[in-house]
Amino acid sequence: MDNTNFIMIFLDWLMSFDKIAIILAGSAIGAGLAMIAGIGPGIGQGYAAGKAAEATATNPDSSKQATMVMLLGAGIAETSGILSLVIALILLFGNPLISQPGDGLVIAVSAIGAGLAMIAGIGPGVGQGYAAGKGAEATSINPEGSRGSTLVMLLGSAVAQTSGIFSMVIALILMYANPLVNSHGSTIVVAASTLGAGIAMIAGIGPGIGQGYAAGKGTEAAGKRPKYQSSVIKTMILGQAVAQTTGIYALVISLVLMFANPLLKLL
Amino acid sequence: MDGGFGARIIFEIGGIPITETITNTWMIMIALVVFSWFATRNLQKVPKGLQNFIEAVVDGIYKLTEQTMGKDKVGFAPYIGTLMIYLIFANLSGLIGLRPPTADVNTTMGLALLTFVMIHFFGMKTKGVKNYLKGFLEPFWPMLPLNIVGELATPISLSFRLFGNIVGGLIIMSLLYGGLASLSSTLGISIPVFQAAIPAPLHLYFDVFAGVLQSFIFAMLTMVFVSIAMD
Repeated sequence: MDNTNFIMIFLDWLMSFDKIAIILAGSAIGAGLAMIAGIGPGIGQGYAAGKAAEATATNPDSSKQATMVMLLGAGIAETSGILSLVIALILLFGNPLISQPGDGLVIAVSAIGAGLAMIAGIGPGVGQGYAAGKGAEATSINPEGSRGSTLVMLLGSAVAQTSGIFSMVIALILMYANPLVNSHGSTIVVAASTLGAGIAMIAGIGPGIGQGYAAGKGTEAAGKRPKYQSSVIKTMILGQAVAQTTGIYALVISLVLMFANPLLKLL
Repeated sequence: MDGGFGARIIFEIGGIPITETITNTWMIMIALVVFSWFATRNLQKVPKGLQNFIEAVVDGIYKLTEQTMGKDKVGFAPYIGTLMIYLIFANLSGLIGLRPPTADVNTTMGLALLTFVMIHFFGMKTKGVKNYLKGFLEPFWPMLPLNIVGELATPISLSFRLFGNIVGGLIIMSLLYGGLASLSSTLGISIPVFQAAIPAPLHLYFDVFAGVLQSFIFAMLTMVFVSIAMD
């Protein structure tokens, strides 16, 4: 029995390091994981740029306007990449975890969890990029309705950011105020709960892409029929709120794991 | 990075810490109040100069409110206008070296809670309390807990959207300034020359673009959420 439980061996091996060393190692992994979110803005902005090129060919007269709309949308699509960059930079340059009291392993896993949570940024990036592309397209088809369609694009994209924001909230809680750090349970359960809180947030990819799709279609609709802009916005936002549901499930599970963990009571 | 990225405490009044956020908010408030007072003295029938500009701003805000919320809810325009102007100035205050009050979650959460109260107050007022509460059982009653969580998520996403954007810019800019200062000191220049001009494009993105856009989005989402609750 002594050497067969590889998890215990692994944990013992981890425990053999300095507390600071293991926290720094976790932070390094977390910073790297956070940057995976860059996938989203990359895809999204590429799509937007492609649509803007297409828009230029469709209507060369409004090319400049379409490019501006595309750049505006692409600037928004960058947000989740920037939020991830901020989390990574905090872990690298202003790490709040180093000075925290508590179990080193749990604190290290908090950093990894924060990084994992930020992966959700893929969704908003892709979705907002889609909306930006549709904005450029709408401008080329109907330059006069460009103001309205751009407005719908901005609103839709802002809502599509929601799951990325939830992820950032969880990442900030994990880094600055993880309640599990001070809990007295079995280390492996507490550490795994922290990790789980981060993993749950990855679900945000879905709502991000979905809401971005809604934003894109709303933009297209508002461009075609400017008269119905306010009902388009209302339908779009209501639909996006429903699309947020799974992201909210993830947020709830993540918060439960951290603040009202039922598993710790079973120990 | 001693002290992290939070707002610094300037002084304390009777044990209550007064942070940069509060002092900067008051500075912006005083500037706006003084400006509005001077801008609205001696109003002429035929506007000229400053009055032209002020009228264009007020007109624009009323038009935007009417377009977004509908003709019957144009009464929200003064609140929306105040919100938008305050947020724009707050977000842009980073340009003159102040710490934007919106880089503090207390500010953004406070404003988002105002929106939250408005959504539910005006929802109840127009629909009646009973009808309004029935809306939480839609589309069928087991959805009740989720509907409640969904409503509570609104102020969280609203406040952290603004906070995240502004504080993100703040952190990246402060790291950049720190990096540029250490670069010039390693090259043996006692004055941090690299801090001139190089951060300008990033200020343009983080403070001007993100700042103005997020102010607009915050106000727009407030309008849309309130008008959806009322219809």
